Amino acid sequence: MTVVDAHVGAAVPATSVLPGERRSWRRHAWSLAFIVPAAVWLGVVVIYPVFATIRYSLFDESDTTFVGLSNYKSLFTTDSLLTAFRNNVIWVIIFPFFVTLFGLIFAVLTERIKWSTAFKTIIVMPVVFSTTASALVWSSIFDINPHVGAVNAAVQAVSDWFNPPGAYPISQSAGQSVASLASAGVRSGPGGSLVSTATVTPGHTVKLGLTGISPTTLQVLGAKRALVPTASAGTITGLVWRDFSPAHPLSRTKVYPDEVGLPDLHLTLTGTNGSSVASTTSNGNGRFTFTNVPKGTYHVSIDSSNFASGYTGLFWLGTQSLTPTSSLSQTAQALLSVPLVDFAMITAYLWIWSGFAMVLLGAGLAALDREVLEAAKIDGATEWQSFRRVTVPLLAPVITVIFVTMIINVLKVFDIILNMAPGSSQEGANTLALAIYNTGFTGGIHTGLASAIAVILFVLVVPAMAWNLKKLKGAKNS
Amino acid sequence: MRAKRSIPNTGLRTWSKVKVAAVVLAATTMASVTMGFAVLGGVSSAAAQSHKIGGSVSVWAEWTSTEQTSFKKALVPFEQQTGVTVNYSGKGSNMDTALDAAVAGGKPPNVAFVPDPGTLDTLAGQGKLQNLGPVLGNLTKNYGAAWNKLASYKGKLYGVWYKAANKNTIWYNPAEFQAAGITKTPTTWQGLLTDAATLKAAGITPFSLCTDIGWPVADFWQNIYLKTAGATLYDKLAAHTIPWTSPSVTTAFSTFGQLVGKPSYLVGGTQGSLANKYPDCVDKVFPKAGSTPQAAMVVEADFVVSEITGNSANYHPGTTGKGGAKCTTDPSKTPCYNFFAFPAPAADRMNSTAIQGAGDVGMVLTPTKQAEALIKYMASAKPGEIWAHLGGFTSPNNKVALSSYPDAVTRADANELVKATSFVFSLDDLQGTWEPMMWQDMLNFVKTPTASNITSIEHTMQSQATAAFKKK
Amino acid sequence: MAVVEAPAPALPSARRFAFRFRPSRVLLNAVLAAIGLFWLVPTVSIAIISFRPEGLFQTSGWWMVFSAPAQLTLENYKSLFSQGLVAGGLLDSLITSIEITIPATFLVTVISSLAAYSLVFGRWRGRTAAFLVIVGLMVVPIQIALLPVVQLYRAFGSVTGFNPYGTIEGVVIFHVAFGLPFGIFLMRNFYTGIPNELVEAGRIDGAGEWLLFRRLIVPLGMPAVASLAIFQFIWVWNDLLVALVFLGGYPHFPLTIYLYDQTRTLAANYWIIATGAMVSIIVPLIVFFSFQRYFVRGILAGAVK
Repeated sequence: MTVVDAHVGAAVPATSVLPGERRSWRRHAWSLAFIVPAAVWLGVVVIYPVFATIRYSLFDESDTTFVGLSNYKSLFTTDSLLTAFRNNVIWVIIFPFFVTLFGLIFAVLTERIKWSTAFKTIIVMPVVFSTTASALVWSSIFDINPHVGAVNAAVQAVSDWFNPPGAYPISQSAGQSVASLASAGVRSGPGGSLVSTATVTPGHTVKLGLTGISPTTLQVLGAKRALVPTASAGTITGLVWRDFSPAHPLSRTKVYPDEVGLPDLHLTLTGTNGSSVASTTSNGNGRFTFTNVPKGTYHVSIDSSNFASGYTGLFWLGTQSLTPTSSLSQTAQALLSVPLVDFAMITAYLWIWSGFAMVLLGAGLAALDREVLEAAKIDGATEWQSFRRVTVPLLAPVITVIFVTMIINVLKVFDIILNMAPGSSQEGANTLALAIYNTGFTGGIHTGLASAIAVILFVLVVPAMAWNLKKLKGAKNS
Repeated sequence: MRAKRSIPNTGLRTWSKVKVAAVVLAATTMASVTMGFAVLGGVSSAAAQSHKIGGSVSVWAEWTSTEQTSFKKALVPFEQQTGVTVNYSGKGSNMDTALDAAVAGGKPPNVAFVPDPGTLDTLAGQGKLQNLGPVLGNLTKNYGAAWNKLASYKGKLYGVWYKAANKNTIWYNPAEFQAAGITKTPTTWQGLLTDAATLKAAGITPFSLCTDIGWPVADFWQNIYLKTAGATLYDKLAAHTIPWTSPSVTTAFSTFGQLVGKPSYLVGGTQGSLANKYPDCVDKVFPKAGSTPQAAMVVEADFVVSEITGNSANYHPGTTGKGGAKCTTDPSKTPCYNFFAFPAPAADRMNSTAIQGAGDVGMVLTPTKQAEALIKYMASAKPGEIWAHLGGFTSPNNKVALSSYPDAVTRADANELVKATSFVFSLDDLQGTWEPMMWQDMLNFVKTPTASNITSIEHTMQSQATAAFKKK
Repeated sequence: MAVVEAPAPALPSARRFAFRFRPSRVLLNAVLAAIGLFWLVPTVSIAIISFRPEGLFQTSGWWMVFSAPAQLTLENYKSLFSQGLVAGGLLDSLITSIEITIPATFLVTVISSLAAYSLVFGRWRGRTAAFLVIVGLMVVPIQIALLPVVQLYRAFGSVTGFNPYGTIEGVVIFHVAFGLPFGIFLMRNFYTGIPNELVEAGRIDGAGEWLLFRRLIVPLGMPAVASLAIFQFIWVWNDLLVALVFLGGYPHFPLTIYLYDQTRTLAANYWIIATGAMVSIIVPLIVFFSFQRYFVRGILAGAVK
């Protein structure tokens, strides 16, 4: 076992004059030389474009006229770019914290299971996929149609158990309404039902005509030709039918031979005071009968349950705001709304990047020396204490790398938004990097405005990052 | 030949002279005839010789996957005739970016096809394109005046149009129209709305509104603007010489709102429409086997045909009403497809014949013999006829025989495009940098089609357009 | 970090875990299994989309597969491989991808390690400032650098006769440049965990900087180098934009462009992206597995003078 001479380590300051100063100078030259390849490479290929960008931002799109700060001015006066800035803030607040946390939890927990390589592979696989493929599959997972999107399907399974859809679902979110179905002899009733316009007494018939019923639904329900009801004493018979004839498309109320009845509709006989007296269901020809009806005047109503839509799917990838900003001005909305789509995308992005954090932290853990933990345990520390007081601080450099890298990553995030958010959400989900892409890259390469956005990005980020680094460096040293 | 002089009495010498003369005459005749043949033959063989250039030419365009395969097939006669190898590279939607980078990097392709004339103007202005007027000569007559004007910059021709799109079309499912008892397709905007109401009464959703990233909505709106305001104002708006706050613009938005403002007319309502990508929106009207149509019409350009026929080989042209083929809604039986021209408001016959279209224009960036030969070939009818036959293609070239198109629907569509008396290019493709912003503004209108929103959108568009055109 | 012990056995034992979970092994396994299962869902979705007939995933969710397994098909893969494994086809693009990715990864790891050594163990003023600048460069989005670098390449070509635009080298140079900031950041922070005393001791013993780097620092930093190599490889392997812009008319192109070419104009067959993704992950997964062993503890053995 080699023991380091702490005395030597402490006694030698950075700029000392040791015997063999020339060797020391050569040492300095060597260690400085090590950074030369990186410096040259970065200087030419990265730093030069930074200056080029600053220059481009001061010129117009065709790069011929000097326009000074006018690109920057248009930047700050567009709501779309304020939206981008707001979204970047949302991403920065939420994402880096959670991705680092997940990575840490995974890295630490997988050490103790036998199948850790398998688990690590599962978690890391998303990083290996291209962002486009991941965006595609996540937009499918969040799809608005419950037949397609896994999330909406899961919600539907639960929701429809409580509120099952009716035989003739009317989706209000799709702009449909029960009232628009009324055609002949019916009008809109309370609670989303339809009520007969005229009253009816026993021994008479009633006809209720509806339009806007899909032929597919009718086919599924086995609708047959609409048959005009015949009166019978003591009963109220009726016909509820689809008041649309392909042979006479503009004519209503008349029952044509090519019109069909509406089967499986639940109907209620209501008295003048509104109480329900009897209920029945229509048959394949649309005929229904209320038998043994006592004397009186009644209405027939078509229950609202027939039109229950069930769960039709939430637009997870839409820009509805989680904060109540709909009554505010455009600019206020741009700054204060929190669109739902951001959360869907952050979820997808966490799925992609947690593996990255896990692998790096795993590397950090692998390099950790166990002796220190042993020492802590001998000193009587509990598992949690040694984790918090010893492991985490020792992992601080790696945690810093992940955290800072992820902050910068989400500041540059654009391809997940481009590929996952539907076209109508693009503006609400805009980020600075996406704005650079949209203004700089569509229909050719345009540099003026895009460069201005990029410069703002640098200006915003570098000080924030330097502060972050200093803070974490300080924390590590303590 | 000079007349023979009377020959003095010299017997043999005279005969010799005659013999010599005859021989000379025969020889000369033979020589001149042979030479004539030689000249002719020489010209043709020299011509045949000059057709074989050899070498290679690099071509870039958007077309990938199946379109790439079709394009390569269209080039085969050229390669065989001239012996030139065509190196084609498909850049997809990144065509403009890749081209800009190539020009900046000093190694552009020989020939490039781009979907927006603005790129042609920019490159021509920078002097990067070859003037094609002298190269093409009479071939320029293969295109209508409007097309040639779009391919010109400052009066000089720099481009050859190849693959075009007729955007003046509304595609409908005849089976659904039949089920709703609609026997004739509408010829006016009011008729369209009436038919939509009839479809709604029949329980069939009238429209599948494509939104995607906004370009289908822009195309739709542009059709309305063209039909309500006319081609002259359209061109002015496209060039930004009239503002977006003009009354004609507001009329177009309000007219559009007559449809978009009725969510029950759109599949999925407003929210569902906003999630409606291309080509999913087309599949809602012309589904694959296993589904049934969810809507009766989709307003789209004619490039949907390849999507429709790709969904099922069963799709064939059909009409509604008497005399139409029996069409089923079930795609596994005999589903049909067809289009009708985008209708104008009732009273306006003049605007009703104006057509909106788009296309890819080919330009020569590095003038070589091979590039010039290729561009001349592209201006001829041959490559258009080949791809037209393969489907999914419409040619703006008036020499392309209509018989090249695979069916009655595509023939009618191509005919409409080529015979158009009034033709305008897709407005959004002429807007340059603010095109994606324009698309977002259109989506914004679909989200909230109210009168107050129209005013606010118009102001936004005006400032965006002004900023973009200032920098042009 | 304290003293490094000579031959440290690699056998994991309960005492050596970073955090021991007292409750129960069963609970831990159950929780991780549940997480793993959830995590796997989207991955499985991508796989299923690639095996279903075109466009079906737009009309019915992937779980429908279990009720109708007959719908699974290899059509998508066939159309991807339709051009065969010949030049211009899949195999050629695989090779081109490798031509780009391996040099880029190698260069980034080597140059980053060197630079990080200099920043941590070097003795020159301004190390902190240099480090901050380098990390700050991570902010630069590649889009804004594309055009300037293309112009730079052209200028370079007019001076030296070699214009990197349109060459593999041009692509590699760009990737290395944009991989360095993160690489240096990671290696440098990793190296700060190595005690200065070790290096000092080495120096006092007369070892040169290069020897110290090669024999002492590099082995200690292997876990970090392995991680860096894995991610750098993946990022360059999956890149589309840089290759598209910088390769221009070069006759060969990487896998990403090949797969991009399979999506139709107007992206009418975008489910092919899932198929492409499945084909594309094979090589990076192999790389990931082969670098796994560097994460096992015990590598520290032998890190002694």
